[in-house]
Amino acid sequence: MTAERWRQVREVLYAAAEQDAAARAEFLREACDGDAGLREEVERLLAALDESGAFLEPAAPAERDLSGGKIGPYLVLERAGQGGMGTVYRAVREDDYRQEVAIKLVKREVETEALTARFRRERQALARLNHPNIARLLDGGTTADGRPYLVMEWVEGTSITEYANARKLGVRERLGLFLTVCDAVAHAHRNLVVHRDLKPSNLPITAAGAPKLLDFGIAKILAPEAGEEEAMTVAGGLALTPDYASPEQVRGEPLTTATDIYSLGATLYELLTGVRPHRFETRTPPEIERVVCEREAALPSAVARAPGVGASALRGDLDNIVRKAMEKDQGRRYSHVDEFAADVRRYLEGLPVLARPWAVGYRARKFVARNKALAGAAAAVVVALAAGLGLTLWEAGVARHQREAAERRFELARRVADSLLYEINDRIQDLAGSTAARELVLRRSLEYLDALARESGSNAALQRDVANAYVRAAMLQGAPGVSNLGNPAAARESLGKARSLLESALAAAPGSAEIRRDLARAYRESAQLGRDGAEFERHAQAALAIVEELRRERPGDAGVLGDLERSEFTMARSMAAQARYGEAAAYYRRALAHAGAADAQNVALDQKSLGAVLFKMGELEDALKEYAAATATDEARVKAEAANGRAKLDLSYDYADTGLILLRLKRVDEGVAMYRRARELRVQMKAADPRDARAASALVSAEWRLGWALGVAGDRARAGEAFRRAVKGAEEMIARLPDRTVGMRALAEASWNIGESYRQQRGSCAQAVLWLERARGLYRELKVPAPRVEESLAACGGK
Amino acid sequence: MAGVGVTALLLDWSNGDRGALERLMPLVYEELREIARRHLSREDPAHTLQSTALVHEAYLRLVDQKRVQWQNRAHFFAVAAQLVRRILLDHARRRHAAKRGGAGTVLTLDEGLVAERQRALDVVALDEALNALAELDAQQARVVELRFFAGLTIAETAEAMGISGATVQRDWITAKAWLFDRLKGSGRGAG
Repeated sequence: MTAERWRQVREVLYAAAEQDAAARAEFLREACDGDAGLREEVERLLAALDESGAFLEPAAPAERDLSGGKIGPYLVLERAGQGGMGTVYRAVREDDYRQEVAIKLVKREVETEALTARFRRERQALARLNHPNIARLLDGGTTADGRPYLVMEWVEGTSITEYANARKLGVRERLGLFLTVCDAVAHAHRNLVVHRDLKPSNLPITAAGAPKLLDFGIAKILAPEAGEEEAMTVAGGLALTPDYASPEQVRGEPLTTATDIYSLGATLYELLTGVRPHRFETRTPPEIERVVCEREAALPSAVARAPGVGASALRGDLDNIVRKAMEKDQGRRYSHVDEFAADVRRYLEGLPVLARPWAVGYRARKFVARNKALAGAAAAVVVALAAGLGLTLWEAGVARHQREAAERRFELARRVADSLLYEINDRIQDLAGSTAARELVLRRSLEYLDALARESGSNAALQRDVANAYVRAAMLQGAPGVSNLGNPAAARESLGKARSLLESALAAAPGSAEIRRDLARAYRESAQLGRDGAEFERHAQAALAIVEELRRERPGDAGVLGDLERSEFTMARSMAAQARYGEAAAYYRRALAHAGAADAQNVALDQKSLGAVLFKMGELEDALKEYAAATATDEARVKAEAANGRAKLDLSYDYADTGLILLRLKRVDEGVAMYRRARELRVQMKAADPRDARAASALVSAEWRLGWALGVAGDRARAGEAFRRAVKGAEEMIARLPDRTVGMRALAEASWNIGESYRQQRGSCAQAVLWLERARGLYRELKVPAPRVEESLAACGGK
Repeated sequence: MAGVGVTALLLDWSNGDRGALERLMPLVYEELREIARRHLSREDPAHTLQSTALVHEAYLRLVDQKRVQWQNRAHFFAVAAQLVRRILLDHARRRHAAKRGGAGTVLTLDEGLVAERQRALDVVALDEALNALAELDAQQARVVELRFFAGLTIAETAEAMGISGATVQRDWITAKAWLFDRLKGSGRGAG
């Protein structure tokens, strides 16, 4: 293309891009005036533009004000506001100037496809919401550049709290407004729509003096809850207003009508007192979670400062009503909005309200719960052990005077669960075909744990134990790097339970360092299982925040220091998982600074992880230094504990990775020597325990890596020998180990690499294809997708 | 580093002293490289953020905010954009070279760590495409440089280049289409 032609294309392209999609064809016909080549060029570039999305866009694109322009069939009058999810415009329909609408234009970064799908799904439910106090959702669509928008009834008004304060309304008038809001929310709930983001600014009072609820169901469209179809994005999480968000909401749990009741309670709190229920030191997720989930708001009467409302009017019943609506535990809130409203009405009519003074009721419940926990736990043991005798005992009644006996039995329940999770599982996990048995053990354990969790009430010690057992269960279910049952979704669920138990344990024992350390560990484990880099990072961050705070409180605590190192390590891995290597390196360095000299294994792991990141950044010399440090650490470990197989294995990895770096640095002979050392160690390990599947796999891998290195050095004969040893070793594994698949994986990997060696190092596709097809067959049998093998085959087939 | 010196050079240059630019560039380059070394790096679409953050940090460190106006800021960023592009390119080339080194593409670290995969924006390919665009229209390539590598807004880009915002907008939109189209096919050797 010439510069002149480009100028021509550019002019037409730019003008066409400004047109509506519908008008483009007509425009192009005219503008190109028979020049088919021009038209084709412009159309291709227009398609590219539509597709380009955020390509090259600066990180925070300045939102262009669309006032005076058009969104779909609407004429935009003015920009009315900017929120977390996008911009709100006031607009009118082109063909009906009388009806003003509010258009929510979703931010560019929001994943639009899923959003459009959710919109379609939710739309019918929202259409049923026909209530005079609910602003209607009218329409929705997609702009020419692909951004979804929602169209709602335009509401002119001031927020319920501002309205009440500006007019200095008294308690009865404020409650009157609030009851209208409750009716509207109840209507939505009956139609199975949960608001999820109730707050004063979504509750404007119109000029007519009536509340009009905004954004019903919108939160669900804009930010699906965790687990629904994708994890809530960080942006989605932050978009929520923490002042009115329920504990389950900030924890990212599934949301029900109980969440709206909480938010209504928080709104009533502010409406009656003039202040918000919570104060946040910072608006970081961990701080928000801590405050919302743990801190009890002050009683409304204690903070009353709304004009026209005295503290004395709030003391007693209204304190209790607000408190009940804002209970941390969903089960203790009003069960319906109607029930909530009815209690407010009873107050207005001077009748006794349902909500009881908090402290006394809480204590009584707590007492009952404690005994119930013991009884329930005992029952679990009894059922599991199928002991008729025990059942009779329990039926005889675990009364208060039998508490000690109950406690003993409860202890037994705990031990059974422990034993199942630890001893029994560990004993059977290496047995051939034990997977089904292990799954059964796990399922039973989880049944115990679920029962114990349900009955744990507010017994912090019990909750903590159960939570830690859940963490252990999660590791068996699917933690990476541990022999596990490969079910990460189930593992995530267990970890979620562990976290929420620990949260409530922490509420019962505020500030407990032990519980916080457990919680940080649960977050670290959750991080490793994150569905994506963002979730990995979020949980790692939460763990780190907890531990850093502990560290400030207890600078001399070695246990906390160890937790800090582990949390920084996890954080680093979350960065590396997102290819943010610079940040990963920084966290590894911090972890290294906090690793105790006594914990050589962690020191070495920090060093080699840092080396691996530097390697990926292309900083080969620096990477080499870190691996040298790791090697020195691991060599000392091997020397100190000759029988420690783990240390030997770790050291063999140091040698192999150092070998790779040396090859990249073109120091080929040194590289080969390193691979030889790695192999030598693994030969020793396999000899020590021929039935150890891990050692056998490691040796196979060392053989073909050595073969590759020898290939780089040009030593075909020795390379061939190493490859043959790899294949022989893997075939032996298949024949001799109880689980055939371990050997099959080793053989598949070896075959692929041997094939690649033929292709890349010897230029022989004929030979390569034989090995690559063998690899493909094995991967298919294993039902493991192997795109890289396919790529290799394609590379050969193409020639 | 001499914050005062950079600020004075920036003001001189903004006032039309061509020579000031010659002396300014190496100072900014050194600082950027130093920051880049610390932050390095990820070669993914989020490069935008990273390179923008890089320039911001350099600006905060080198320039005395009290003595300059937003126009000077735009000029500084304009200088930095070019340098950041060079730094990122050097870095990407080094990485490519490392990847192509002795061991071929198969052998990876023997580490037991999680594998990472991210659709990467190929800085090298982008650089080549930008050079090709510059041959068609140098001004347009410069607009992309300022927007993408320094994160300048339309208005700032217009100020830094002494052209109208409408022109920047046109250049930007059409360059984006052209580059996207070209890079989309670059994996298969088009263009």
